[in-house]
Amino acid sequence: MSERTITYVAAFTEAVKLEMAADPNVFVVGEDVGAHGGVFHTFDGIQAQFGDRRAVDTPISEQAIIGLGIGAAMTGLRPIVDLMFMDFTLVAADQIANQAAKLKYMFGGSARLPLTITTTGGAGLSAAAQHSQSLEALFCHVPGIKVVYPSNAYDVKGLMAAAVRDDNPTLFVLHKKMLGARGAVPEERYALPLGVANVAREGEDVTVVSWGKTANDCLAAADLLAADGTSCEVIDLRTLSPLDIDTVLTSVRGTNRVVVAHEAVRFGGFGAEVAAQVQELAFDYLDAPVGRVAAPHSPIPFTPALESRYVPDAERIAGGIRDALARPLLTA
Amino acid sequence: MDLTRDQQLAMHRSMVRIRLFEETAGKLMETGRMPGFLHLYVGQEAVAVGVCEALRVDDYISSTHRGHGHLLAKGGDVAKMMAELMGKATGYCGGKGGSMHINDLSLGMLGANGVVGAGVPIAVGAGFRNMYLGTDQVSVAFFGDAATNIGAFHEAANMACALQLPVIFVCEHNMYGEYTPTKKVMVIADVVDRAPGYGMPGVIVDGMDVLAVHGATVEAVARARGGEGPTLIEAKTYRFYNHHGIQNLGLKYRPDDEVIAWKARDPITSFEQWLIEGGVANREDLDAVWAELRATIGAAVEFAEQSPFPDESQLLAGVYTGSGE
Amino acid sequence: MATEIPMPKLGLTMEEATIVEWLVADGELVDEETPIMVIETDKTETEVGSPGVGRLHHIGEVGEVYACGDRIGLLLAEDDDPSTTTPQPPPAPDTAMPAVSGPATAESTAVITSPGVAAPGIAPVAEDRVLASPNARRLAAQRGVALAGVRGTGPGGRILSEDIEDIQDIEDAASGAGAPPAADEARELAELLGIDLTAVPVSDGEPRVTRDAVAAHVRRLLQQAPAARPPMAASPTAGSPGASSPVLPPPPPPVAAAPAAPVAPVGAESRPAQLAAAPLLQEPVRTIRLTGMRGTIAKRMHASLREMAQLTLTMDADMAGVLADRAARQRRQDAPDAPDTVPSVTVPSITDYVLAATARALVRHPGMNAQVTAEGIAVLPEVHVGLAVAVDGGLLVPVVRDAAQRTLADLAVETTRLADSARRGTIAPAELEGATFSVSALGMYGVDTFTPVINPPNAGVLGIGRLRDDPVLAGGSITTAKRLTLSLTWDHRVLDGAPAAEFCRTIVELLAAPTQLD
Repeated sequence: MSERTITYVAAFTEAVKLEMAADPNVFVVGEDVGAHGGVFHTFDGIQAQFGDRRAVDTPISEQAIIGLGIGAAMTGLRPIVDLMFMDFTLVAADQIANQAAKLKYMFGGSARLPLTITTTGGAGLSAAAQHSQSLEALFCHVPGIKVVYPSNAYDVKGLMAAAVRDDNPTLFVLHKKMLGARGAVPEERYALPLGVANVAREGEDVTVVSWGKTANDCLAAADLLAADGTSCEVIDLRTLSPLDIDTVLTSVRGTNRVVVAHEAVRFGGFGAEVAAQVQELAFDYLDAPVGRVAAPHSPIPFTPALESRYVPDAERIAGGIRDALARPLLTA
Repeated sequence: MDLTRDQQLAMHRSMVRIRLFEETAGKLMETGRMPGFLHLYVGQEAVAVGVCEALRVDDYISSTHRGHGHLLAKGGDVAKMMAELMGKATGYCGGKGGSMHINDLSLGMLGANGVVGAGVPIAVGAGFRNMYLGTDQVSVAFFGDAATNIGAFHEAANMACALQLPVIFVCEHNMYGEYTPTKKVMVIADVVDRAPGYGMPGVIVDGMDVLAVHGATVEAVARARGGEGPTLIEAKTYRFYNHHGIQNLGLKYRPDDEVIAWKARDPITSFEQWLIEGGVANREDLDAVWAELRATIGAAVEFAEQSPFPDESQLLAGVYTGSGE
Repeated sequence: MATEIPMPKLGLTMEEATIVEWLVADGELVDEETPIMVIETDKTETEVGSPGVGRLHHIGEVGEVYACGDRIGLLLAEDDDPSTTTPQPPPAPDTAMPAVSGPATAESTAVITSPGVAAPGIAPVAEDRVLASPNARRLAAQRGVALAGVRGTGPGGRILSEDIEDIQDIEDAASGAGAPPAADEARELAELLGIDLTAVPVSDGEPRVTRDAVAAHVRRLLQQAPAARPPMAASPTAGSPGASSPVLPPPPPPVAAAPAAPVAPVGAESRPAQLAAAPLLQEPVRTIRLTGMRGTIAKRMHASLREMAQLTLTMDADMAGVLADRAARQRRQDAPDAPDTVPSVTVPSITDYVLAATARALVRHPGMNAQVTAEGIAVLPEVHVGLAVAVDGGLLVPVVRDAAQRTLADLAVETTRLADSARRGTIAPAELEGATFSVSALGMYGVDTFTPVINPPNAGVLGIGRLRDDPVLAGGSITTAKRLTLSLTWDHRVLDGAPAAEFCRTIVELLAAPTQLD
């Protein structure tokens, strides 16, 4: 039985098409999402298939794009609104964080906001500091919004379907460097539950927690370390909010060491939240401080020479894992 | 625009209801019986009532931080509103939204909003929904003169025009952005001057004249329902009280004689005079409305004060839809 | 890059060892596994193999004591210079964990640094703080391991759960890579005696290390030990006159008691005699180090006296009845008409009678069959009496299980078997565990009374004195009576004087009417 493999971006587009076909209230709005199909071709062929009523180009107006989604969602539709670059979520920060996330609560639970905000995050394309950020921690800090950051094509399709069907505003982040990565993806329509982490690789010596592209780098780091006899358990969180800390804790109780790796800035990053919860909930199972491998506290540099030093790679992650496992006084 | 007698009396009743509700709320706040911020709508009643009387119950409106009048004009329940203002479990939002987030989705009222201009894109979203579903519903964005200087307004106005959505932009030009005269921060005197920039018609109406507001809105709604796109209505009006609270005279940022002059144009007084002169109603009829509504509002206060505060179990309820929390 | 050679930890109870001899000269090349030194632990002497290939550099000095994990040597690469690689002297034996991590740790952890963000590292801590990870603390508490006795291998000397598990692993020698295949019984014996299984040769024709092979290895080590041991230099800082006192200590605790008790912590408690050292007024003829068996005895007995409220009473027992009963049994044994089909009956010894009486007295006075725990005085339901047996190079205390339920004849067979097994090194570990009380006989040395020291965690111990003729007045004339003196030491925390005396009285009464002992 041969498994079909498609790219990460194709898996996304396929999920959008399937959800649009299944639910007439699902539509796409955003900059360049119509005829062009999105700057990263995330919506390729959507307008051709569903028409310009359901795949709508908008002005470059991030606040109005999100506001349109909010108004439409509150009045019964199930919008997918696209912000092109994650950096631009900040342009629409009020509409995302003050409006979409909070209206349900402020309205005493009477409002429903089945809104999916799609965007692309991550560095690696020499796009410099305004087109490369991973700002997931900002939105995890806002109650009322869910944050999804998938690492592979299979998850993209299943999680996107779940995000669209969810009745809450969901920020769905695609990693730009992963768009062309192929993976086995079933053709049928399926959804993966939000808030459930994936144990991407089982291991015994250390738990490595990550998401998005970095989860793949963690798997590569695990390969590197396997050569030294170190067995890494890699947990791909997939959804950051709500956070599946239980899967992490279960793993930590077995391995007693944790390293969190992410592409975003380390200071105040989401890794800090994972680390804090691990020490709160599994303190007595730790043999080492929770390690963090992440980007430095600086804007993302343009030049590939520096950008490659900025983004944690498998080698750097492996280094962080070795540190967590360090037993410098151990002698044979 | 041939208004029936019933419609005219309903508009009067609606304005009186707003006036009494707001003044009662102001007194409650002043005497410490109501927590939080309170932005009163007194003086601007003709705008909300004139607009909403031209709408159907299934049309949508989005509102502002000064939103009680909009909800009342759309048919809001005074008891549930008063309870919400007091943070009670029986309020519109279960006590979790308060004055600035009061809403009633069943009346198409998409919420007051604590952020200036933020409700405008949301009304545009509702307008998109109406177009998408092919209904003849319209949506109205209420906003102030100061909101027209914020990005969200420009983005939303442009988007609505670009997509030719059934949206009516209603600017309540009350001459002040909080405590700053608008003329000091905006070169143009009339917001409608901006309408051509987005490609939509703009009309100025006397915001103290409920009939004028109503007439302009009827035309704009007809355009919208007919697929002719958005309209900008600028209603020149005035808030009798301070930005926040119930002080009216002795404010440093606006002259007392200006306040007194605008109060002389009280929209309710002038409409009552018009009703009496037109033989639609006599003084006794109108006084009876005031008395009846005073009792209604008094009962609403009683209801609100007797209502319980929400239980602590409600603290996390409604953060997410469809989950325990 | 130099590899450290630490003092190895060969068993659960091993905390330190003395370097007896370097087998390879300083500066010579060694291969992995090459025996490089002989060390003496509290149990035995053993060879230590090289941890790798390189040029051996001695750090530890012959005759000195080093805690497990202390750096005692280095393996240098060809071009390493020991003077630059090892600028600092080896840590003093009782130095606490290093407080601050070295710069290498800080650098390797600081993958990313930026202004305002401190590089992750190990914060300096107080000298007396045992650095241990939360998981190590949890595991240590679960297994009853004292953290102070564990050497940490983590950053800054932090004790990790692996360090706790390593103790267990060495004990188990079960699944670790490189551990020789060994029978479970062999592993148990090695564990019991603190022997490194890897040092035990596999017997010809056996697929794995057998229990007999371990026993043979131990006997061989014990025989070799005196010959292989170089003369020790007198050192004013090690040992003390008190420690080499000719007065024999009471029966030392059995090795087998160790698994039930937590590992004694290192530090001050492990070197009581050294701490107590007073200035020497004379040049000693020789100094017997408080290592090996002596060290264990010193430690355990000192701990026993320090932790318990011990006191001793003595009581004479009339042994006429016992002697008559014993003579009758002897006669039956020697009877010429005894049919051949009747197996020969072991005649109980005096000690057997006392042990039998003691066991029954413990049943009647359960308060003495107890143990002090964190929760309080735990009164134990089963009576198992330990019996001190001198063996080559030390003492073992095999346990007579359910001693109160045995007939005298049965008990005599059992004590004979246990003593024999103990002396031949074939005793099973289980037979050395679980005593609830013990007896110790010094009568054969002419001792009448003494103050035995309780073997923790028991609440009492009974000393058996010399069987003697006492003059007694009977019917107005002087005659003699066969008597011995019992010396009961008990823990006053558990029992007061009156009940203790009643317990002893019961033993005396049972010995006076020994038919009750069958």
